[in-house]
Amino acid sequence: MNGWKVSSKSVGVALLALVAMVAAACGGTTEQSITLKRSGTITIWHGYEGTYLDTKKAIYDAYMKQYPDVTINLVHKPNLTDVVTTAAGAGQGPDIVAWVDDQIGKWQKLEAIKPIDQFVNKDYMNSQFSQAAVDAATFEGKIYGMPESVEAITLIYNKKLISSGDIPKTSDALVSWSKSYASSHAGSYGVVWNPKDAYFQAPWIYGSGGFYVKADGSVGLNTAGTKAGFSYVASFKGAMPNQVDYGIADTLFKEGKAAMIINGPWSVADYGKAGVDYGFATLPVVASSSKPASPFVGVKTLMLGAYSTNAALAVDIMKYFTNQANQTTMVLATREIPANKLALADSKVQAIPDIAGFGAQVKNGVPLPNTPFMSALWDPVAKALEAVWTGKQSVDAALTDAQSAAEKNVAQLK
Amino acid sequence: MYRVRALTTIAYLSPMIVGVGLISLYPIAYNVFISVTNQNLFHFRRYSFVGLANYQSLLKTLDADFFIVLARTFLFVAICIPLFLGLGLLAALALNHPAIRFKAFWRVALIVPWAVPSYITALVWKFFFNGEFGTFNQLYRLVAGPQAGLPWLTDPNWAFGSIVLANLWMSYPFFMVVILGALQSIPSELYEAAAIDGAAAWSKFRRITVPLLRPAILPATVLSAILTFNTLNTAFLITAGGPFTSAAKPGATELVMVYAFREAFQLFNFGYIAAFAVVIFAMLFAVTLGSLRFTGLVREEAR
Repeated sequence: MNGWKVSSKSVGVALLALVAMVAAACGGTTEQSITLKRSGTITIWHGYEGTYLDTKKAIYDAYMKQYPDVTINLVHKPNLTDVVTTAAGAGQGPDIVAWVDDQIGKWQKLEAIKPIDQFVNKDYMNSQFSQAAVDAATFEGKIYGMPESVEAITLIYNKKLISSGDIPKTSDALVSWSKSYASSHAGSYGVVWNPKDAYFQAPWIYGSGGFYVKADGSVGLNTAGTKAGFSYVASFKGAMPNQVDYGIADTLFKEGKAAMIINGPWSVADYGKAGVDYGFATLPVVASSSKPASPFVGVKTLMLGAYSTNAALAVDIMKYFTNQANQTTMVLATREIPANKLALADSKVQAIPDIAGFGAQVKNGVPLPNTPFMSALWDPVAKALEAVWTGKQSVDAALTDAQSAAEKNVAQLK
Repeated sequence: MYRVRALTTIAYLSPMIVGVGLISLYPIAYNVFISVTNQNLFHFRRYSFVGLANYQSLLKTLDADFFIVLARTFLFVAICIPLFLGLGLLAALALNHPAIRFKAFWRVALIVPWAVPSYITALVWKFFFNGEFGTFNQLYRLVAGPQAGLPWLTDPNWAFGSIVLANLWMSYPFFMVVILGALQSIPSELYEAAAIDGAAAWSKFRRITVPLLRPAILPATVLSAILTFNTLNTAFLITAGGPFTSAAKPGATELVMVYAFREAFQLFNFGYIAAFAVVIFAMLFAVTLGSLRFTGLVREEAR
């Protein structure tokens, strides 16, 4: 009896040692991966407001209720991208940053975020999230966070001003329709958006076969496709107010002075409040390339902060937040498009017009570049768009200058 | 005995020395250090020493961004300061004039532009200047017809003028307050004596007011010139440095601070922009020293 006991103990110790070794071998370099202790404080920096915040907070509250030793601090940061950059310079930061994936490359270079590969594998990611969302969270082969929701700009129309059957299906038809609408309705416009910003022109430039920058840093501003996209945007001169910007376009649509606007999911709640009866349509097919206009698809992602001391817990919270049940509940309230494909397939989720509308557009989109080289492009592209829109430069001249300015910026980064 | 006194002196001075060191000297030294490294987005925490390469790319050609931006900023200061001074002087003389009634009200009303946060003022002016919906063009259309419009922010030269105008609105109260204070400290006996001697209003102004205002105006001018040189808010919020006529050139209202902000926080060229800041600092320092000596302020205070 006594002998059995002793041997049982030693077998137990041996087994434990074996388990520990296997776990260590699987887990890789750090010991964090072996032990997930659900206790401690996790700080999350975010930019959520209003309904978004309330709904998301409820999920974190449920987690804290289930694991009372865990405290989750949700901290709203205005100018979040600047704050994260500044904090990284000082060697500080939160456990989780909730932001759009286009910052991933930049923040990886700034060492503001770190990979989560040691806590989750690719199979789990692929089983939960759409391919585009997994790609968005991946940079140089490593996963930096878990995707929450997907966003892209699409055509939003005022049902009182245009019926869904009249919405132009090609880019050429959209220009001519807008021009005739503007001339027959003094002080009103057919379609409006901000024509001087790189993000908002992506549908036309990528739809025409052009591009801004690739992951290796090669710049595509002087390509034929980009030129075609620029020329198309410039053809809206006279069909939009000369000094149109995001705020003016937004106001015109709210006041019923624009039949359609190109804008993203963040805007529609305000349109409802302003009393606009709105519907969604897919951006038209680009006539020159016969391909659909392709907006940037951004993915809101929970990223792991580089200075998190409890990464295992942080990733566990990400997993919980982005699981099917929680995402289904969340998007039913926030009307975001979930990155969790199981939640997106839910019939109640599919019945929401906003999700169906933006979801259809996302299928035509291209991933928002998460290469850090993109930070070298926003500025030259915006300047070139302005020079073309105000007639100071031809499309060719503007893009030649922008190409050299962007190449100079990229070279400085390297 | 002497040693003890020296130690005591240092002990009493130390809080100030530490304060100035941390707030002022350390950042300057750090900035100089960064300016000889390649710190940028891709070499953020692991940067290396590159010697004077940043200074080289800053100053290598005469049509480099640096000289364009610098010349434009000097022009901006040269236009702004006389306007500030003129309008501030006029407002102060008016407020100090015995014939003006409801002085307390006017004093508050004229200081308001200074009291409102410049962020808000800049955004209000941005709206005023808007081509289609802005107040100025709406007024202009009343006289010039419904299709008319002035290119307040869309034409490079107009935009520069618009920024000067907005900056004038925000900055003249400073001169007004300084000059008003100085005016009130001029003893009225001087004017009475001059009147008895038969001096006219103009010669009273030239022989009494101007010389006695000089000690107040000179430091205010130097200070305001430096602040104007470092304008960021007004230009960045109203035009963001634009209008841009090409991606390869700085915008029409891209003053030094706007340029520095864009390079540092949109393009993350920390090393390059640190070198830029060092050169600007050296220049401003020289200009300040020179102007203090030239205007005799240092001597007056030393006396």
